[in-house]
Amino acid sequence: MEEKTVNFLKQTFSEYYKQNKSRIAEPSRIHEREFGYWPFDGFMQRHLSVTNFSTFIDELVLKAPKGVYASCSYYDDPSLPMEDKGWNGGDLAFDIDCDDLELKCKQEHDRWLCRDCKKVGTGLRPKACTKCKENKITVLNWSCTICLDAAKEEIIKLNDILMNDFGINKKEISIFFSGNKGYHLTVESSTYEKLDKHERREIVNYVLAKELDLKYMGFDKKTNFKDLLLRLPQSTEPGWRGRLVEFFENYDDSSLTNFSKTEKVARIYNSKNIKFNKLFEDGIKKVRSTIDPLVTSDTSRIFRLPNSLHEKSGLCKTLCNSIDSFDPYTQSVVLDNEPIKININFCPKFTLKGVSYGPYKTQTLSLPKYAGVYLMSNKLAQVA
Amino acid sequence: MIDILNYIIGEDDKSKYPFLPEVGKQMTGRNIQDFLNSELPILENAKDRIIYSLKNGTSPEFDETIEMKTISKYSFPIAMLLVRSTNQSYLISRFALAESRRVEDILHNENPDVIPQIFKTILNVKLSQSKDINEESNVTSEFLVKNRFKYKISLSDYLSRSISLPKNQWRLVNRSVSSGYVFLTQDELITLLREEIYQMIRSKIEELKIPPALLEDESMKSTLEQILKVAPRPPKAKIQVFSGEYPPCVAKAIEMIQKGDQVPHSGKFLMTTFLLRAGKTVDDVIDMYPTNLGFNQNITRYQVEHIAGLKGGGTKYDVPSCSTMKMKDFCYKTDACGTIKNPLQFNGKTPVKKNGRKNS
Ligand code: SF4
Ligand SMILES: [Zn+2]
Ligand SMILES: [Zn+2]
Repeated sequence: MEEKTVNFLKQTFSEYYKQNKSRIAEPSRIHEREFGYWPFDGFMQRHLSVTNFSTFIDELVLKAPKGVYASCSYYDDPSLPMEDKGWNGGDLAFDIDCDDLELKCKQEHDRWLCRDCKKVGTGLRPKACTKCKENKITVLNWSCTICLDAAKEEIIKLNDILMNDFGINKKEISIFFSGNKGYHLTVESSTYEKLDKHERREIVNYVLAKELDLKYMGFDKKTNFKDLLLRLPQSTEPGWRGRLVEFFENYDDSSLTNFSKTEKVARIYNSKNIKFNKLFEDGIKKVRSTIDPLVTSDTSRIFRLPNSLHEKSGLCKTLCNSIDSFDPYTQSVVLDNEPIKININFCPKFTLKGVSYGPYKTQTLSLPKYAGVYLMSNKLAQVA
Repeated sequence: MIDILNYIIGEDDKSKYPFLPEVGKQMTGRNIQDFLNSELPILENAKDRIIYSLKNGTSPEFDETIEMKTISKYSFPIAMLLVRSTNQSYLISRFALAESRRVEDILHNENPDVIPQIFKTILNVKLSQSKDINEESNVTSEFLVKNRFKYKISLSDYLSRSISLPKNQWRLVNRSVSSGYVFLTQDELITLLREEIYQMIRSKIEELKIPPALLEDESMKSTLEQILKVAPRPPKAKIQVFSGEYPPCVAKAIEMIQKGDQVPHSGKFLMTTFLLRAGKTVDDVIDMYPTNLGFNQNITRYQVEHIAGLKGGGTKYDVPSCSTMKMKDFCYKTDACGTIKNPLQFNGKTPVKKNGRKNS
């Protein structure tokens, strides 16, 4: 990134922290958490302990870092090296990233750029540049409303699992738009804060329905049809048994409409025409929540602070009070609309605050600051 | 508390579960002498009980006569004292194992109303009978009956125990989970808690203080000799350890494991990660454990494979640092350790590779 652009972003971030001091809420148990920030010019600073939150914010105004973080874990002394901190537990944390969801729209809006001949291609990255055959390719993982809606659906499923299966109270759950490509969910609950890495791993596998064994869901090839009918769960049963059976009950097959629900499921299972294993996999994908498996079990991570800016978008990490109606491309746009002049390399279409921009080819343009910063943060433009 | 127990757990249960707290109460002070001098063959019975257990790995069955019930109720504490007096952790483990198997057998047929109270008392595990609370956990009674789910246990209590059980059946994803509870059948509940029952009985024995007068007692002395004469020897572990080869903490863990001592999880974890990093295979590590000890060789295998990253999602674990070991009370620092930060650096070996930490 050009120095001029970096300075502009720094300036913008600093102003944001200055004007929004009160917006940035102090995390609970602040003395027990590790803090960190990442300057635009330098390495990530970690293992900070914060005693006075407002002094910490003052520091952010001064340093204008590109990212600010706090741990979900609680420590005796957060300022010591990882092994010596003395882990005392931590919020349960989940991360959903739309890049992990294998969405079709990526084919349309993702781009790759050849650093050699400057060719820009659409869709997934080829093995080598289609024009000059060199392998010097930069990838642009773009995101759109479809992407973020898909991520939202995953977070809603997660929320449902946490409340119904794990009995977590609504008040203990916070859902955030990450500021770029997905959602974070944290649980502050005394019941679960002590779970260690291994136990968190079991929670992860549960949410992902990973290593789920059909035998324990009531499906068993060895049983005869009559026993199968007895063994299959009801859709009212808790957990995966109920969810999976409900999925099969709703499977659309006109030849099975006359049967009772359970018999329909049993017939799907025994059918010669339906590829059950494929259908089962589809069912799992539909009912599970596609969380990032590494984030939840790694208790040493630090997470972006709510209401801080995301360096890859200039949007802010935002608490979603009502997730169903949350609109990330409006509600997390916090920079002002003062016009700024930028040189654009290229960019796919995007929408902010209900206004669509682009697609743009190489050109110089005046855009509202939040849109300009969005492109510069994505490394698609520089200050003119 | 005791009153409630006496109400729920009647006379009969005292002979079934002789480690219940109030049974121990009857054993203090001169009562022991009374038992020894009693007309009933209590000492003789205790000896038979021990020898049978050590040889067979299970407890002998006694007749259901009232007299026999009384004898076995009192012979159990005496047997515990005798086993404790041998001062051999291998024998203590064998006896505790046999005793816990007996208790398990009884529990399988126990009245479901009594089970939560028993586990609350001996292991401090909170259980509910699922029939009482199916409304609160959003499940129907048909569901409970169909699956023979008699109990529910809180999710965190479940996880801390199921994590070391190898089979697919125990993975959370394959369980019925609702409102923060995991449902269990009676058999599953007992399997889930069996290691703890064993550990509980074992530490009960280890914690026993033997009144010096008792060791002077001639009948005790000769009984002890008879037991030691026929008691099995601890099996030899396949791998020998030379002192100086391993850092003191790892050497200590190996020594404890091979002696059959109770090793805290942190010690086993340290030893396993260390040996794997030092180039030993999973099988080598499993061979460190003497055979015929503790519960289940499969569990040992599972735990070692888990740490090696072959099971449970493939996370490979690092050797914990010296400061972690210190914190866990398992550092046995000597001058040879010097100022190293990780046991891997012992004897000037490989410095530890720092793990890149990520942020989200
Ligand atoms: S100083 Fe380190 S290597 Fe030495 S005993 Fe303690 S933990 Fe082990
Ligand atoms: Zn090219
Ligand atoms: Zn998209």
